[in-house]
Amino acid sequence: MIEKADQIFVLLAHWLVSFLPAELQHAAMVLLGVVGIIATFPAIFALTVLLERKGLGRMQNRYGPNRVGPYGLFQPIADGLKSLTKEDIVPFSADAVVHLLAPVLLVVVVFMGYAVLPIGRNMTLVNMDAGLLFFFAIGASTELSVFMAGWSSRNKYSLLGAMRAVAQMISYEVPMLMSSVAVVMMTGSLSLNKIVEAQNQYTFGLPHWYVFTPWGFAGFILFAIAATAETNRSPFDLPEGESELVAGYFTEYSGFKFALFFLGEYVGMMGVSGLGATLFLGGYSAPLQALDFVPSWIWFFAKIMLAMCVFIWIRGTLPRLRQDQLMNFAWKFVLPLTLLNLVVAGMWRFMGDGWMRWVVCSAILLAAYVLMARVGMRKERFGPRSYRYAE
Amino acid sequence: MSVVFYLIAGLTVAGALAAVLLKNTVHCALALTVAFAGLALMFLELDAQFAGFAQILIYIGAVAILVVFAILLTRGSETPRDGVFGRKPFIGLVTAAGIFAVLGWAVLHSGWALPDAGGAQTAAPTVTVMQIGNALMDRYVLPLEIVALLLTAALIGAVIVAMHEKAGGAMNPHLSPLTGYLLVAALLFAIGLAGALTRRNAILVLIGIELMLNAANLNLIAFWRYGPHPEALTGMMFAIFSIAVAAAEAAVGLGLVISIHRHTKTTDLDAMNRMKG
Repeated sequence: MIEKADQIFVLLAHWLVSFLPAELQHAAMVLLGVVGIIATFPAIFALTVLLERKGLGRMQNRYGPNRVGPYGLFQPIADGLKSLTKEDIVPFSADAVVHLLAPVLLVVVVFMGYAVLPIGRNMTLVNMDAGLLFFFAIGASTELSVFMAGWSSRNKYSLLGAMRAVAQMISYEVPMLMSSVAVVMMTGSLSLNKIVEAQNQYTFGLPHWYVFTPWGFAGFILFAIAATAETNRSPFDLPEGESELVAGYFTEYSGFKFALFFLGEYVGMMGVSGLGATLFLGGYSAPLQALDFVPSWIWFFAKIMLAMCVFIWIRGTLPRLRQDQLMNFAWKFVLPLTLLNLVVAGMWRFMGDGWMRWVVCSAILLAAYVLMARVGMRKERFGPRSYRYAE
Repeated sequence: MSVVFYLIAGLTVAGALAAVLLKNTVHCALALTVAFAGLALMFLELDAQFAGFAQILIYIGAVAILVVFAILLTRGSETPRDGVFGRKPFIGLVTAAGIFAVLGWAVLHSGWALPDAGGAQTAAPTVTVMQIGNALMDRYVLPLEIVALLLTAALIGAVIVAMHEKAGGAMNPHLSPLTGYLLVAALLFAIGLAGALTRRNAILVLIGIELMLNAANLNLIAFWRYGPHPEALTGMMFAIFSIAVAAAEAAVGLGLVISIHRHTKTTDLDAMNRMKG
């Protein structure tokens, strides 16, 4: 029974496919997986948007949407209908083709990332040997769509937003990749399935998640910071800072195209959260051995939703950074720490079992963090700003 | 040759042509990414998964973005009024066409001497990332250190390899897979060369050079896939090194263009004639 619940989607897909002739079955399985992903994540997206609006509202001492349906639960449907029926405006001087292609590219690329994520036991669409590399390669293409959106709008706010976004995404892609490399070093594989399997073991009923090791904890924090910046979320939401840039690179988007951008952004956030959960939080494995009877895919979605809640919480809490602070933070704080984390992960690997490695690795990471934070705080960063490249 | 190959080849060549021919510089850069994506698909078609993803990550994620940044920083997105091509585009075109003719002739006439002469599909070699990593740290650790030198070697080597075999014997009536890839590479090389020789904007010259580099990479991977020893990974390693170095090369090249733009306020190569006596 437990086994059945765990594999319910896999069994369902096999049962559906069994009606087809043998040569079509493989293709049909892939197609079913794609349809499943394309149906599920937008649904979660709708839920998350509601959660965000309600949650942010509560954090700001107001109710949030509460008019449509009981407790405002049908608000996402109303929003969807509204964006579908709105007029689609393309600015007169805009580059219409690129303007149209940008949101489409974003959505396509963002969904492709899910192809390699292990959503549950035996629930990876493509079990690729270089899955992690695929995810990052695909993720790198989102920068291009952001640039296309900003440039094709022929609007200086859009262009500025796009330039900021691209610079930010390139800067934070490096620490994101580097912090994942530590996991790859430990597992010895780029396959996300193998990474989850390596963490899906228990001693004394406690899991072997990488986040429960010194290097894994540091790596997870750095990954989370980089992922927040990578998805242009607050406090790194300068590319769409309302108070300075209207809405950044999608200022000139309306109606359904805007909805596509919105969808792409949230689905991208969920994808990155899924990757973080897979790398550091044991993917679809249960947090306690005693809870192993709960189906694996529930854990995966629970971890994603938890990450989304943290995203919302951070958005409601932290103020926006300034552009120079953002860049300094990436290159002078996050990147050195990820590099150090790689070294520490290597030490952890070769120091053998025992308490020694816990003490040494934690001490190195803590000392480095304290030192760098102190040095960073001491410098006077509040002088007049200089614009070197804006001529 | 499969339909998939023709589709991808068409996409790649169309992207490359658009990158060289279009008027608007940003459109050129976007078309270039199409060509890069097509090349990545070709690598996947050649069973070089790792190299394909590296291609997407580095070329689309880094090089293309660098190019658009350079274009915006040099105000290159404004189309110049007096044409986008240099003063004597004809010479460049003739050179490129001549080189393509020579390369194509060499590829077609050496078809019988290539390892895959029979046209029979060799079994796809299975290469795990683990093997690549081990090879990088073990056999290829010195090349990893002097990867910069290898780039030049890879480019020249690929061209020499493509032109190496002496002509003789009848031409293969139907294209073998390897020949197809080599022809596409030769075409890309010629398109890149034509772009580099005829365009006036320095960034577009760099785009042309990138295309030529990619053509060399495609040759390396094609030879690896259809060569006698795919398990030795040599060709794939060369391509991976070359991709890695190309990112650095693009950064330096575009940095140079931007710094020149700071001094001269132009990226027009015809206007950069201060050294002229």
